[in-house]
Amino acid sequence: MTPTMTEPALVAEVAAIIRQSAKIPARVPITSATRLVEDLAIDSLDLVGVILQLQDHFDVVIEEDAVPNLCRVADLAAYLAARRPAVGS
Amino acid sequence: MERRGLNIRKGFLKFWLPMIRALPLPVASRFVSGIGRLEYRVSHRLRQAFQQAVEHGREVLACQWDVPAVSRELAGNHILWRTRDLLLDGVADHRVREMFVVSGRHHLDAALSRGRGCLVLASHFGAHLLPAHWLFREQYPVRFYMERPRHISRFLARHFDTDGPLGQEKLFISRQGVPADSASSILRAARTLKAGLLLYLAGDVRWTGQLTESARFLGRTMRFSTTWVVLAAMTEAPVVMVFCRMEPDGRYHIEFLPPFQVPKDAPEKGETGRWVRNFLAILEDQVRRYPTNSNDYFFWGESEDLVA
Repeated sequence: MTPTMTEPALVAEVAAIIRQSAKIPARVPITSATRLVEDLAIDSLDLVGVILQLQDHFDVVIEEDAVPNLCRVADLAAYLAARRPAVGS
Repeated sequence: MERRGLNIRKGFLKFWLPMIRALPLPVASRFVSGIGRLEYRVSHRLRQAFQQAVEHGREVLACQWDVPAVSRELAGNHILWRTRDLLLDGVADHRVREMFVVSGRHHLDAALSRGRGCLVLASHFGAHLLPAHWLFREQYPVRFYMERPRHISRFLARHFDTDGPLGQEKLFISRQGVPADSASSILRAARTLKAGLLLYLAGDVRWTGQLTESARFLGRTMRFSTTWVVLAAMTEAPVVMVFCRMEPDGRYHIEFLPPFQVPKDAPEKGETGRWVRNFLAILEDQVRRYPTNSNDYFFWGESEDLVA
């Protein structure tokens, strides 16, 4: 999935949830291009935790089939942006 | 355990099974295991292999087994075990029910009634796929959460033909998966449980890499999958252990144990290993009491063939 023009605030929010859920130290940078497995060494269990937290936080169901394609922070942010409920709804 | 002659035996059984099934099923079952006992009598090499394995098991578990008698019955049960549920293929429900003695069904029903689905925790002990066959016959909503089993009945294979997000096909596990695939798989299994289904999986799966813990089983230290513990904690679904023995009278005895709960914070507290070891201790006790149902366990380490 190619990076999209996802708002920086959303990317930062996603990054914060990833950091907290997978206990990534503060010194490790997480940007929109960061890959969850290759760059952050997130294992499958942590990835489950990240997905569940993102689902809860954004009130979005992340389909299991989509997970293997959500490799980078930008991918997650774009997925959530396309599906999250509109503000005020 | 060597697989020499396995294909010959498979071909033989494939040809004769339709006729064997016409016999009263307990008799048919003893006939099939009789092939194994005959092989044991005829082959010195096979007798030696089984007796050495059983002797080792006896020492490790500090038991008083009659090694030749256990070895002979184990050799017979090996063939019946490998036949999986093929003996019941195409057989009417009323005949199949006569093959099963079931204890603890109320534990399973009580677990299911909690509305969180249920992990049915099996193993490679005894007739390990027969509880699943029975569950389908009794119309429980079941999904397998393991590698796709081969050489099974058409009855079981038909139940794998389910579509949609809770479909069976996507729940089969591959050992080739990467973390994202594993995560996707676990999420799918969790969704299945939350929908109130039974998830049938094994608690004695040797695995490598993530989501594994080291544990001792039958005198050996190995790494076992902890996925069932993680799922149980995540979903708060009750876990019901099941064991299915191949009995001397040719029938299958299915035993469901009382349900238990894995605390939600067990993975966080680093307790997954403890739950795996608890299960393996119970499984070892089954082997101690019923060594003729130990299947491949005494041969583990000699072969990398892992039976689904």
